[in-house]
Amino acid sequence: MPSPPADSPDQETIARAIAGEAEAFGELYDRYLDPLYRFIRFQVTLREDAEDLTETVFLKAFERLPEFRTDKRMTNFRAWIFRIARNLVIDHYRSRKPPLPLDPEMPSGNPGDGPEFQVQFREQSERIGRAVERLEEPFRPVIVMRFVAGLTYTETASALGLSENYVRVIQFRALRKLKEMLEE
Amino acid sequence: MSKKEIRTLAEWLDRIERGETTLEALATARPDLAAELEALVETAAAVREASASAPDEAFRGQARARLLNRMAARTAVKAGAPEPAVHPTAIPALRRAFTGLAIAVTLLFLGVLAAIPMQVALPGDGLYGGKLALERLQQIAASPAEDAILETRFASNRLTEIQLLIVQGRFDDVDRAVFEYEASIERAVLALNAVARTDGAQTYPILQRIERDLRAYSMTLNELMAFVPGPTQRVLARAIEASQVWSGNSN
Repeated sequence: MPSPPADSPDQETIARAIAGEAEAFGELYDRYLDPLYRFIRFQVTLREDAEDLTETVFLKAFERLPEFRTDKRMTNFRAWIFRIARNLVIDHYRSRKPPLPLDPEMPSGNPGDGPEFQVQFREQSERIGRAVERLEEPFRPVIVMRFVAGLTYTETASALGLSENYVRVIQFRALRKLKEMLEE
Repeated sequence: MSKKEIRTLAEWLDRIERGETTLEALATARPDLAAELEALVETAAAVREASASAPDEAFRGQARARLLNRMAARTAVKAGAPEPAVHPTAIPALRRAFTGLAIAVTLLFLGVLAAIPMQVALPGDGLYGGKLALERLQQIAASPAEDAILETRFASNRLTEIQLLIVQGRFDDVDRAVFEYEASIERAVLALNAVARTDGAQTYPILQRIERDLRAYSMTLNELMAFVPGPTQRVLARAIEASQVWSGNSN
């Protein structure tokens, strides 16, 4: 997924949101809702949890917008908001007690696909989800940031506090591990 | 794993993501790396595909409305000047009787955009009954577990409404919001009991979540006490008690 260019209108929209213009924050919401939801949904069991966490990400982002503007380490809004999302997902897992069964509403392919295909697609999705979950740090977050959230190398590096080159190395190793797991 | 392989994989993924080329074309151009890298690019594509999901439209609109409501409330509180009271509009009894189906049919005619003013309606506004009915639509096919979570979320919506009503000085309308808040909590507890009867494994995490939410709501309501006149304090006290009683019962 292509990321917005460095001079994307985010900065202007953010400035308007900090000034209290609700609709400006609404624009940020419209732009980031889908990728954030996908990122969170992939990592939690219940759809309701994904929705709650997604909403909380935006609330936290709204509260911390002034910090984003002054944080010299964070120049990319997309990386910054995904960092918030990642921390919330980690907190969610820390507070969670017994694991829940897989949600029956996990992705099931296109609505037009036949039931057999949908079942196969869902099984494959679950298998991949479980394999990604088994990856250790920093392999898992790199894979999720890159291929679920669609972040660039620069954004992934910024969100995870790693160097870009290291992200490329981890990406290679993580994909290789994942491929081996899926072949087991 | 060589530096060349790492660099080339990154470049291939970039170029494919940008739609510049295909995996086949890249593999043909570099047969020496194709065997290894092709499989890795396909693995990345499989992760992308497996993670494809999108929020449902009801959540999309309601979360946006809640977010903007909260922003408006915060901005107004920061400005330190409550807006002048608005005379409450009577809620037509007939509107309150609308069923979810009638709302759905109306929305089909009016278009999804018409739902937005409904979603930001407050108790005392003409569209408020419609807003509540719209929320109920989400429960049509909900399991007891989903019901419990949805009701807790509806209680959160009522809390946001209470805050907005206070900011706007519409203290007379707080009672209706508190009434609906209490009703949502009671329904959440009933739904949780149903979960416990049918699926014990799910009960604990949902219970934890409801308790956590109710504690947070109770704190927010306590903070609001300082900003309301005596009669409204008594109304808020009812909501605080409901939050504490039910979270206490859940322990």
